[in-house]
Amino acid sequence: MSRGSGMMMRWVFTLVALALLLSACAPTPTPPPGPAASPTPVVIEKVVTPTPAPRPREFVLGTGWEVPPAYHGNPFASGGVGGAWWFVFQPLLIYIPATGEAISSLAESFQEAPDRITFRLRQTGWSDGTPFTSKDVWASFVMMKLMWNWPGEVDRVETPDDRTAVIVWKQPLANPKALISSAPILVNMAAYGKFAEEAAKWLGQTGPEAEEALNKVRQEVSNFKPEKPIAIGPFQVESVSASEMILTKNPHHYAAQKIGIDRIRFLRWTSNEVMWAFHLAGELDASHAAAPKDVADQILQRQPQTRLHLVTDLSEFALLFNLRKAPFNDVRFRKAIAYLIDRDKVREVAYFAGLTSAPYSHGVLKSFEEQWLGKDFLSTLTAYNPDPAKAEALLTELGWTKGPDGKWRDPAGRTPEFEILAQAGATDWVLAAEAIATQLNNQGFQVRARAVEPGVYPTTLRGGQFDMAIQFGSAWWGTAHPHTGYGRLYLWEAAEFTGAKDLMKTAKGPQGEDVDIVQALDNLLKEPDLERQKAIVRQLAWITNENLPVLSLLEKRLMIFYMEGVRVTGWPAENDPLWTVAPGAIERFYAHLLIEGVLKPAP
Amino acid sequence: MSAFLIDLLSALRGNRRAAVGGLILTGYLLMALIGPELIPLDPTMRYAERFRPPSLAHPLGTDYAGRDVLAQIVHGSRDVLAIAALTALFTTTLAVGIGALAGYSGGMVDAFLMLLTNIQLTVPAVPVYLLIGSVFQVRDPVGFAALISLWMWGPLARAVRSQILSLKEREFIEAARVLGLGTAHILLRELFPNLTPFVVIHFIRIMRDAITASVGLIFLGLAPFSPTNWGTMLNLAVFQTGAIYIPNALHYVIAPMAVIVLFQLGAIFFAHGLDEILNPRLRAAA
Amino acid sequence: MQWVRRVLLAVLTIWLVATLTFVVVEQAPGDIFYLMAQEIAQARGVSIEVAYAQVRSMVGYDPTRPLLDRYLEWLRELLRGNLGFSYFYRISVNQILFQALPWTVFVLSIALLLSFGLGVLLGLVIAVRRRTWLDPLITGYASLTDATPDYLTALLLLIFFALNLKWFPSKGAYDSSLTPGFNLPFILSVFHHAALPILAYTLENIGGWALAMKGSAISVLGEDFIAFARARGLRERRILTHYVGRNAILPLVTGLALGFGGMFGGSVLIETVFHYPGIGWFFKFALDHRDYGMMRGLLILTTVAIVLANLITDFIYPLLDPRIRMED
Repeated sequence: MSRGSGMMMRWVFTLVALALLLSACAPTPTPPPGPAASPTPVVIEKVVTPTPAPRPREFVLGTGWEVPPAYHGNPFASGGVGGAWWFVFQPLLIYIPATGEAISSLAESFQEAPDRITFRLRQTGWSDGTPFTSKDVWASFVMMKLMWNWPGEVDRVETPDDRTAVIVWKQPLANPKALISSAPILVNMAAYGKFAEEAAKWLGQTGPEAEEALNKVRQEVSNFKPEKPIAIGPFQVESVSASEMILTKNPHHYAAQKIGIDRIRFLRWTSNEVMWAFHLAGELDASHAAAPKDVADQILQRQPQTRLHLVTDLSEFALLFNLRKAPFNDVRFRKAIAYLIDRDKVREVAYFAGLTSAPYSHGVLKSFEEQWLGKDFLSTLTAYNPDPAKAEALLTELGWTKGPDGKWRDPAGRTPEFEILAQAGATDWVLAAEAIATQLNNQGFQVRARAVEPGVYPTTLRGGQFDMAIQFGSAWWGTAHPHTGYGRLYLWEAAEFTGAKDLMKTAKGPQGEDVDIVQALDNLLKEPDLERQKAIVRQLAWITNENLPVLSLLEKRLMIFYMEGVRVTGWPAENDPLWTVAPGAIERFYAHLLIEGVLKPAP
Repeated sequence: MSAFLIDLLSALRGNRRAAVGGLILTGYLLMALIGPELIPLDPTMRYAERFRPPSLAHPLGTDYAGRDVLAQIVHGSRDVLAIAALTALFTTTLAVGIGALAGYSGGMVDAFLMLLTNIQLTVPAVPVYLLIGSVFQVRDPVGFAALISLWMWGPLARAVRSQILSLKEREFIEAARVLGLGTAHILLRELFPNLTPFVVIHFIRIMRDAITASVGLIFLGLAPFSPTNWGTMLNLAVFQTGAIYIPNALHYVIAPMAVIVLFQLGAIFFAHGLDEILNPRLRAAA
Repeated sequence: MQWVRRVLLAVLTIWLVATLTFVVVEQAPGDIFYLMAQEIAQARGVSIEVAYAQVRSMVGYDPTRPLLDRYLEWLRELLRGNLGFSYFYRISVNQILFQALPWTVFVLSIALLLSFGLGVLLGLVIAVRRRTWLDPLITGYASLTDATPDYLTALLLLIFFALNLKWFPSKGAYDSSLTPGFNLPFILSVFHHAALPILAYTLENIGGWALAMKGSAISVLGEDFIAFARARGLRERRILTHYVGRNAILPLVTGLALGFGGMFGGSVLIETVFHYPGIGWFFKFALDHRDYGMMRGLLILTTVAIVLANLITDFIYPLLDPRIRMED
């Protein structure tokens, strides 16, 4: 007996010891950390000294990045750069969607011609010490073409001298500055010149030999994994761990003296509700975590130095109709649905910070409609305010009848059931689908909202296996120009979802004229004159509003929470157009504020 | 079977714990069966009335879109209980089948089935549900019940097997075998009736586990959107609408939690009481 | 011979699970890279089409290879200890493991020992003092915690102690403004952050251990050698600790060992509620991003850990209790 007990005690002791040992390695107090040792940062260049020295002047943000050891600095290979993107890379100029102006960035000045922009480059340096030259601009564009097949609009980059770069378009462009603004300078000749030169030999050629050569270069680029990005932007990557990414100043950057912040600390952005918790605790200087109204109120109340700024995300949520399928193939039915939906109620529940698109659905984002369409023109468009009587008239015209039970019957006497699909996990979309289904049910339809796995959602929509669905409608990402929005609705993704790509190649214009939509879009892309662009946009807006391939629900606005006067101070005023730089690339906006010395450490 | 039920009811009267548990469970059953008829669910969203505290009009307050929470709980009970009952049905069938087959056949069949049982008992359930559930996209109560049953039959199968093993040696089975009655007859007529009380208790335990598991999985965001499921309510409260961060929205989080815990308590009491009634040895010990 | 059989069985179990998970993941629907493309489109300000091209160029996954090839490679890699590849992070699951496992083991080992220790103590007390107020109290507590799924306990703790009273942080493993390392503020912060997860797990499990210990102790109390010890006039206290306690705890040790095995799976729900970056949290992350590769790897890790824990218990238990022989 006693022998058994002794053994048992030893066994328990062993377990305890094991547990202690395991837990001891957990928070890993044992310096120095190996490359795989957990939560301590995997330091890339030098070991961070554990003594908490006087705190550097920090700017704390949230973003995503690859977990070491996957992290590396090649923007073209898997796992590269992460959320540091717009701090380590910088565009030649920055386009401000609200005003249509561009301000200089890596280029100190630029001159526009119909087929080209000539840039005078700044005297600045890469973080590896090499100076910035026009050859770097050339290499960056060649590499983007090679790896992403983008931007297709650029024909070539000329380099008359070290500080002059000329970007030449294949054809005149509607809004070339926005494109340049979204294409930062990514690589220098010193590290990537060999790839760029090899690729330049073959790009533009066709045939198996060129294809093989290009694939070989692509493979080599993919395998090139420097530890961290070579930065041309104001900051460089200092260390990366699973939970934090630290950036410090790029000493060779032209604004290095002007930037008051010593380092940027990124917290890992895993989900919006984690960002809410960070904001509630006051640990974050800025983020654009979409939050319901009450959560936003809580944040503003608990951290009184937090502000909230709403700015367009250059996109809208829309109800997509399946144009291939009856009854949605009849525009009168789509209009009836539009008259039955109270879009502002949908916005309240689904995305309260949005701007309701009602009463129109013309494909121009709400906050740009006066700028592009004008009040006078808008008043000529059909307004779809909630109006059951108008819906009833349209449905009756189509042969639908309302039965004694208050349910709508189609011309064949059936009461069809419809589905509104939404992408599972995208709560705002699911809530919008729910809200619309409820409203239509109250009007005598039988509609069900259904969430679909993210992985199969686009294929389901492309395959036309739906009645109605929630997705982005018009979206102007990258260009902030209506051409991109209409391209999405009539040529690209949304057009493939609704079927408009094949079914709406032509339409009647405002004066009853026949409009070839593809041709109109092409004209718009090549039209350098703003007034003539507006004329085309009006025509497309009229067509979109009359044909409703999608019903615009709301313009998505970013909710930027920022703390003023805690760690940093000097945020732009509420009405500053600079805020509209944020959509699609919010770090570009932060970086710009730091470079210009607008955002400074708080005293 | 009906004789068994009558015995059961009379025994229940003598056991207070079982009676309380039975009462609670009956309450939930009624809520799922007739509750939705009594308390209509008005899905109309009234944003201005969101997160209202409990009141006469809304005994459990309103949700993030101003809808009645009580109505959602009641309508959700149908979904939740349907999943639980179906899971218990599938799991019991599967477990009794596997356990009886293993116990009765012995040999290689037994060894193979016990290997499967061991694997089921070894590999933790939640990760299995998450992996399989996300790959195969369950979207209705039947699919969900099938998913959960897939990894819940082990303990019962093992218990049934050992019951069968011990019953097999009893005289009346020997007698039946000597009389030349077929395997099916012995299993269905002689063995299964003796297992009934035992299986009934497990049935309730499985329903309980099924609710924990299904609500937990939906809470994590695995299942499709079924707006009134208690798990969906929790998911919306914690991850989507931020209700846990809003002091006056607390009722919206607590309501689904309370109904889950109460159901679990009812099931525990009932199963435990039944155990005492049906298992004389335990009764003596307690 | 018996030992060989058990080891073979363990290997067979792991192989079957590895094969089944491989088959399941092969059935994964749709386009797993679409989510990544959506994220990139919004982060870099480019259209979905461009983002998609970027994703495809970044991910070196080739679905055109024959199934058998991929299966065999998967098994080969597993044998080398490589748990596979995370589609989302694009690193091996092992590397994620290195980051997540210490946190899970830290929290769960403390919680396991705490709940085991307290539970065994309480169980012993109520087994001996059966007619006192303590017995119904602890039994009632055990029923209540049994009725409350662990995620609800965790959620309640989060709402009251972290969000309302603000005594504890609501997320993460340590304060984001501290430098991880061997310094006091950091270590304190680690414990501060771990407190609620540990508490949730402990509260949830004390009752179960207490009841198990009570049952075990009652049966030991009925055995002859206790009566014999009493007859010998040994002091009650000595009888309790040396005779009853030690013998009654034996059957529970199996459960404890299994608990250590199960620990490696983490607790998906508790870690998710507290945003605690352990294995379970990563599982939820994998679910959200439909990262089947990561789910599969973590599932296999858990299986291996539990199978090993089982095996160890099987070997060690007979050493603890001379009445049990492997040959039984």
